[in-house]
Amino acid sequence: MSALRPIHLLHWSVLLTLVGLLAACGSTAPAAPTPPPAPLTGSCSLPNVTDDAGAIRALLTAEGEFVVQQNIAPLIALWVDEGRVVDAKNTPDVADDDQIWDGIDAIRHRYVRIVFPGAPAAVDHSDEEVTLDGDRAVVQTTTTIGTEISKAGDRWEMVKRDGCWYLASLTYNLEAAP
Amino acid sequence: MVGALLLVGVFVAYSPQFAPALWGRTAETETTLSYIVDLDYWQRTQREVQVNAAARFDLNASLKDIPLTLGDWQGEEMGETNQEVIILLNPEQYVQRLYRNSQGQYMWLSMIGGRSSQPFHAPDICYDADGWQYNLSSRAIPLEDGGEVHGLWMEANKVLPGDETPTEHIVFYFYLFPNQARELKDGIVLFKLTSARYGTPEETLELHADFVRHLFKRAYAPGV
Repeated sequence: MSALRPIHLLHWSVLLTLVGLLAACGSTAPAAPTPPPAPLTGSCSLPNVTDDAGAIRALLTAEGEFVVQQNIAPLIALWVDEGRVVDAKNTPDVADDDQIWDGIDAIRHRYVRIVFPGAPAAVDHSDEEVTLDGDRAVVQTTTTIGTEISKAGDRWEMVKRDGCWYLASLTYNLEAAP
Repeated sequence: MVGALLLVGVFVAYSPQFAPALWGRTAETETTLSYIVDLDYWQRTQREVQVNAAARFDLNASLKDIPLTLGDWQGEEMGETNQEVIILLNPEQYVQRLYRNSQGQYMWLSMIGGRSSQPFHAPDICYDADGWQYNLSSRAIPLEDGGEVHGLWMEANKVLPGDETPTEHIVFYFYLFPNQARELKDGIVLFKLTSARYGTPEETLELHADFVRHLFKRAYAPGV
């Protein structure tokens, strides 16, 4: 067996150095930076929420408060992306005349271009009738916007995802035409 | 001989600049026109993107310079006949065109430019006031060179006087800003397409997408 030539020794030493460096890098390289946590959404963005019933009430209260404040970013964060708003046009048994805002972009647009210009000073969702079914809830409310009262005119649907409750749909003008 | 070879080499190396047409380019300076596109002009939304455009959509240019021929689409100017609209909106620029393609399908292109909020009435508000029934959602149009541009999507219908069946309109619209600051003084342009419903709403979206892709080439995160 012939002795290793100097050039081979050089290759081996370079190779060993590289392997050593790689091992060292592997052991001491900092972990990938942790991404900033995503902002909390739905009921998880609201304070003092401890149970499902509280989360559902908090969602409705926050919806009204953010409307009054015209605070669109946290308002939209209460909704699921595929949410929808339906104006039943006071004919709850007739679907053909319904007007629909489908998806988060359209819901945002409705708030900004239709709800906010009315500049409501107070929005109250009262007389809640909550039907809770696992991760889904349906809430019938009477909504008061300023002096306008819709007796049992609103039906909210909510869903629970990853421990947070979200608004999934609102159907309004369910009460009979005056 | 060496001199001749050098001359040929220099010609090959520099001819794209001397004779751009030979190399498949126009003689014009290639500058990228880019704008911010969003669903709303009040506050930015999660749909805000930057787009590379094939024409100028800022108020330092004339919106009428946007081509009348866009692929298979051939347009003609259709000035606003209702002067009340102009008085009400008081836009800095107002362009209304009717494009048609070889299939006989039509597409209205409306562009309203202004430096205040006055000209920018949301189209659905106008339709509602005019007695149309409508539903609103949004759609994304993928662009040829990557990314997608979102617009609000309205499906409206109304039985017009003398008609037995409702007339249907499909509207796709968004707003353009010259920069990320989005200040009113820099100007905003509403870009709105209106057509009939051709087949299903998704088939109609393809028609709108074909039109949009002639004017907007790439979308990406603003500032990238």
